[in-house]
Amino acid sequence: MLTITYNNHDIPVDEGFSMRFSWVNPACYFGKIPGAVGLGIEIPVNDYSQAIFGSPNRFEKYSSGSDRKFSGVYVRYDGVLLMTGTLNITSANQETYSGWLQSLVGVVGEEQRERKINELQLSSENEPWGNYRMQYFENKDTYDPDSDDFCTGEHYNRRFWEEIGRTVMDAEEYFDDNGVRQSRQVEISRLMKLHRDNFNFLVNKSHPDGGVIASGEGCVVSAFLFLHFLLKEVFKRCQFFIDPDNDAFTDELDDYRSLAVYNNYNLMEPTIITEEKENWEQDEITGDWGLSGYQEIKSLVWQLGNQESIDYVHLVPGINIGEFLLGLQNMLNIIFFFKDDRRVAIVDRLGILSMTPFDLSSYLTENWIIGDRKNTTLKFIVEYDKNDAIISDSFHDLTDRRNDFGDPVRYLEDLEDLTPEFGEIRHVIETDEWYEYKWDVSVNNDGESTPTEFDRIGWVRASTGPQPVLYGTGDEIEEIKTNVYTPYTHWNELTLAKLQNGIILPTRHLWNSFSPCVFFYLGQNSISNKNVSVTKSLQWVDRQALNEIGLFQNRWKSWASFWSNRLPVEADFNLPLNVLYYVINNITNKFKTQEGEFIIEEMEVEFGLHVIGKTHIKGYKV
Amino acid sequence: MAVGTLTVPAGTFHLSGNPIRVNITGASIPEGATDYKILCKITSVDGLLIGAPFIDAKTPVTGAASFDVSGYVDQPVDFVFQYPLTGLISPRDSHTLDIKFQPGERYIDSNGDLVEVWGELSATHYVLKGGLSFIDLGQYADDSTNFYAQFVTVLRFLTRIPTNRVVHPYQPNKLCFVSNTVQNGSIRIDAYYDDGHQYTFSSSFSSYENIMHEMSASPYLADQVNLAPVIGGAKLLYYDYIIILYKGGTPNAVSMRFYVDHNYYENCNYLFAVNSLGGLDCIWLNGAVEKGFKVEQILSVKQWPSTGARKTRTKIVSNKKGSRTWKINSGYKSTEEMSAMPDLLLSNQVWLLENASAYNTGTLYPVIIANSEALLNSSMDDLHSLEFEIEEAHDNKYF
Repeated sequence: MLTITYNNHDIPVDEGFSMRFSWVNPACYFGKIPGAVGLGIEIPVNDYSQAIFGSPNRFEKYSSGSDRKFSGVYVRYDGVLLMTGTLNITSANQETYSGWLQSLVGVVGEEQRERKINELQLSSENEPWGNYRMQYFENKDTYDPDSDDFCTGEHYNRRFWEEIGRTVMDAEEYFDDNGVRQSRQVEISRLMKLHRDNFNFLVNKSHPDGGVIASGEGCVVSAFLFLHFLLKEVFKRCQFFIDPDNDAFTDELDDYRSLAVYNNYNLMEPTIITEEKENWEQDEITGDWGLSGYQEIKSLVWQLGNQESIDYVHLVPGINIGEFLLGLQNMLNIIFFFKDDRRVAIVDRLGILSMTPFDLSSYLTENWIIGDRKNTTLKFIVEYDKNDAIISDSFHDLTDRRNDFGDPVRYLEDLEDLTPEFGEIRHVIETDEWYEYKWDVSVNNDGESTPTEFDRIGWVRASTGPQPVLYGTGDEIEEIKTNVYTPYTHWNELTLAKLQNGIILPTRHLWNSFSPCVFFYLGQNSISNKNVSVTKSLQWVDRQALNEIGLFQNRWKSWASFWSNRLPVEADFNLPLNVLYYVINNITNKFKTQEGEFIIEEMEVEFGLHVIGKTHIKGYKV
Repeated sequence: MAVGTLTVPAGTFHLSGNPIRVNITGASIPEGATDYKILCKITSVDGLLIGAPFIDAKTPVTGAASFDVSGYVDQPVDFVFQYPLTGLISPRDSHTLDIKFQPGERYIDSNGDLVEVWGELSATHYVLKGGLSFIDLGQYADDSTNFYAQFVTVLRFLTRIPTNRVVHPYQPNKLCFVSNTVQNGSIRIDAYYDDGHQYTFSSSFSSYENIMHEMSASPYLADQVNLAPVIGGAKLLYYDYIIILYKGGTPNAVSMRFYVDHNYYENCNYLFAVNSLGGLDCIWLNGAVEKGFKVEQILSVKQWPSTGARKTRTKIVSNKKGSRTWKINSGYKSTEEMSAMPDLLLSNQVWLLENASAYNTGTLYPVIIANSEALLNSSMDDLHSLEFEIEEAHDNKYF
């Protein structure tokens, strides 16, 4: 029998009571993390239901917003839990309360939708990430992703100290058009100059004895939370917990277990020695001049954190939870599958295609209905951090020009051997740059006279990589977007580089936001966008010698092949309750009937009081 | 914190169509814990329960929670049975689900971490596909008894059909039972002939907990010489079919008496039906038979072609399917036998054995009983029968 309970009280229903349930497979969605719903709930008005929901007249007149929501509702059939969540009453009249049931995932999503992950807080914490205040920073040679929360990694960031502190004059070298080395005076921040002179613009510069150098002016030390730890803590703050038996990071994605998340926060904190001074300042409104007191910084003594401790809240990206999870899904091709028992399964979406299917042959009632095969082009779009100038300065999306793409060439000099047409675009593989043959304007600069423009035709760099990856031949484009990226390195660089303003404690509100950026931790203060064995790269396209090791090749190609030409199918099944329960809780799996294998996109069942209707499954043939 | 104590009040054998209560009591919520739930895990011991293990969770009330796990174990069973008859006993391990329950608790501790703790596994429980009516459930509750006490502890055949039934001499009778321990047993058939002589057949066997025992209660199967329907002109009048189980030397017995009807009937058919107790019944139908065939078709229409001639058609049959149908009268049955007919009418798995007047003959069809209502008996009548509307459980495109 179908029963609905609220706070352990059974709600009596009519003889004709029914509910239609819909469960969706998150593996088939790239734009959202969907939740299940129970529809068509009509609860009769009687003494019992009025005691819970109130008189229908008053309900309609005075209830709004959260008053219409009742959490802690359980729907069971013969004792089997079908769905739990929040009952949303949409309307009430003298006879019935009408509404729908929002599953736990949907409820949590709604609660946390506007919140950033660095604002999440446990009930036991006084402030966001309060349990991770004053954590001791152990400056060691190698960190363990399984037991440590964070790691360090040496990388370049020339712009870290830009716009922090006063500027000084510095000599900048450049090469003129004749190839002669020249020098000119430029203003840079004093700390930026010290960062260059003392640390070669390196963040987490390695100490000869192991660990990082954590002293000196201009020193930048950053700690990067391991991704798996961050996920665990984010979920925990939403009262969800990673299912240890269904965690792809411990199985198929073991190579990615060492991923860490970038931040631009400097753990070095200054002890500021100041001197009281006065300065003449003009009042903005009255225009009057007057003396105003201020504390002039005379000297700074840098030390690591407060008693060598760090607050994790500074290491967490300021990004919306949903966007973060969706970004990870669409980068690594994984799925976060939320269940009613507050567990999250981390599923390898790519692995679905090769898993052993569950046989539903004996429950199929009639023939499959075959839809029209899709023919789409998948466009994988990465929304890089606009504050990271390495990419933002020279990157342009050339997707709209793809009809102008010619065959790629290996080296830049190979372009000179071509007989191109105007507008033709070629990809230079070795440098991962895109060049267009065009009429261009250049600047003549001999280092002495005023620069002048001249017209020329030839190959002009249109964009650096990485371009969005396109797969498929269809006219319809399906976009798979992610805002999680990896630091981009030019082809001849071994060390990761960022060109991003940094944050220190006294100025942390200036450049607070940084997009989620991940990389592999290789041990011994080393980070990279490739794993230790150089078989997997976090760049979407990355050719190493003759091998393509990029993210698309390793994590997406097989799935893209299936998804861009997927064949929609649907059928009805008579699933007994135990099998239905299994399918609901393993909806991301692969299934089969005699006709072949398929994955489910959506399934719907209507339950009557004493009857289970047919299960209608829509999916795609594998 | 404490994982509660698990009890299953209704014994170790259950019918899946009725609530199977698993009670967990004595759980205690740790200091600072939130979202505390008592858990009940249902594990399949024999691997037959698809989708297992299942975990259910409930918020406790004063440290206790009661789970109805019937929905998890009410799995359809593809019932198999022996016909033609070859052996007196057929063990059916796929007709019982061997299940264990396990109590647990889950909560979010004061540090915000999820904690899940499990207790000890229960003893093995056995689930049969079937159920009792609300009337029986209510009566059992009033009498403080249950299915286990009525049909297992006290050995009884899994059938509603009463003893003293009237059967055909070669009727392939089926009687099923379950046993709550491994024990020695024996089959005994006491046959009585109209010349006054009697014969006793006996055979030993072992019973097991995890199977349903399907017994073919046919004297001729047991001994074709000494238990033939007619021996030297003497007719078999009746026989007692007795099962005796020896538990620690103490016998536990159940018997069923069959009266043999030697009259000639033009039609001899049987219905095998899975009953509501998880067993199998065989009902003799010796009344009038109407045999038919039902056809459904879908027509399509097409244009008259330019090359159309006399044999050309513009209406075509795009799909046709048919099923055999029967209307078979049960023949006269006693009031007690008629009272058991609802079990047959409610059965989801029924087979018709047609034209089976000789031993181990006939044609077996899977069928559906289509009767929407039936008159079981009337006080105005002395003799009772029931006309069954039967439909083949196939949509055939070919004959």
